[in-house]
Amino acid sequence: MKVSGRLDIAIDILSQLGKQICRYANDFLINDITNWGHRFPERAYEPNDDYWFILLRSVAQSSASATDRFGVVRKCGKATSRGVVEAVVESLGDIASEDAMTELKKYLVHEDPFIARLAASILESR
Amino acid sequence: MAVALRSKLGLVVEPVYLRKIDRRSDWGDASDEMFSRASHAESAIFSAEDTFSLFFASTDEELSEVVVGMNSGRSSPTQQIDFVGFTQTELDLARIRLTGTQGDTMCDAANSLHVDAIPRDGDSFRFLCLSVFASQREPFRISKSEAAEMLDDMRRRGCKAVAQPPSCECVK
Repeated sequence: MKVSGRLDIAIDILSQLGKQICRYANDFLINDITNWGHRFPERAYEPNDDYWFILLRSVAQSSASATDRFGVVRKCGKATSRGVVEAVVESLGDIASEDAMTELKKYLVHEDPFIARLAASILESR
Repeated sequence: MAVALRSKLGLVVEPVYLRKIDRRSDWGDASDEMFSRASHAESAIFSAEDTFSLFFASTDEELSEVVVGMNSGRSSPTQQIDFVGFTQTELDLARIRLTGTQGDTMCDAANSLHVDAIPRDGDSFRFLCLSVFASQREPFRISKSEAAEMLDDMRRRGCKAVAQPPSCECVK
C-alpha cells in the first residue's frame, strides 16, 4: 500500500537533533558545493529534492536559534531546482521570524509561478 | 467556527476522497505542461504501488477527523497538511475501485473514513491526475492554526487521539 507521510516522519525525527542538524546541514552544503563545483565540474548538478526538503525543513523546525536556522536556509535560496526552492520557501514559513518573513516576501515575484504562489499562500496563512 | 471543507475545495460540491501529499510540488503547477505534470504527479504521489490510501470527507467535521487522525502520529499534533481531493466521478472515470478498510491513525472516526483505492489498469493514476487538472482544482492546505482549531474541536468531542476520554463521541 502506498502511504504518504514518509518525508514527514524523517523531518519529525531529524528536527529533534536541534543545533546538530544545523551544523550537519552547513557541512553538507559546503561539501555539496565542493563536490559539484570542483571535483565533478563536468557533471550536471542534480540535487535530490527529497533529501534537501527533509534536511531544510528539519533545520527550520529544530530547536536551534531562529538566527542559526535562518542562516542555513537562506544559503540555499539561489538553488535552481523547483524542489529545493520549495523547501527553502516552506522552511522560511516554518521559521516565521521577522527576517524569515522578509526573505519570504522576495519569493512573491519568483520566476516560477509555483514558487510565487506557494510564498503567497504561506504569507496569507500568517 | 469550523474550518470549511467547501471553501477549501472551491467549486466542488460533491464529497471528496482526500489524499495527503508530502510536498506541494508533487502535484505540479497549473503553469506546467499538462502531460509532463501528470507523469510527475503520478510517480511522485502514486508510484507504482497497487493500492493507495484515501480518506472520505463530506463535512467539516469529517475533515477535522481526518486532519487530527493524520497528525496524531506526528511530533506536533498541529502540523500543516496538504491534500488533493478526488470526486467519486473522477475516480470512476479513471477506473479506480474503492474498498472500505480501517485506517491506522489514532482517531477511530478518521479510521472509519479510510478506503483503499485500487487502479484497474496502468493508466488509471495518470488519467485521474489529468481529470483533476482539467477541473482546475488545486491542492489545499490546512495551516497550523487551522489544525489547532480542529484539534480543539476534536478535544471537545472527546477524541481519543488527543485525550484519554471515558468515551469517544466522534465515532459514528
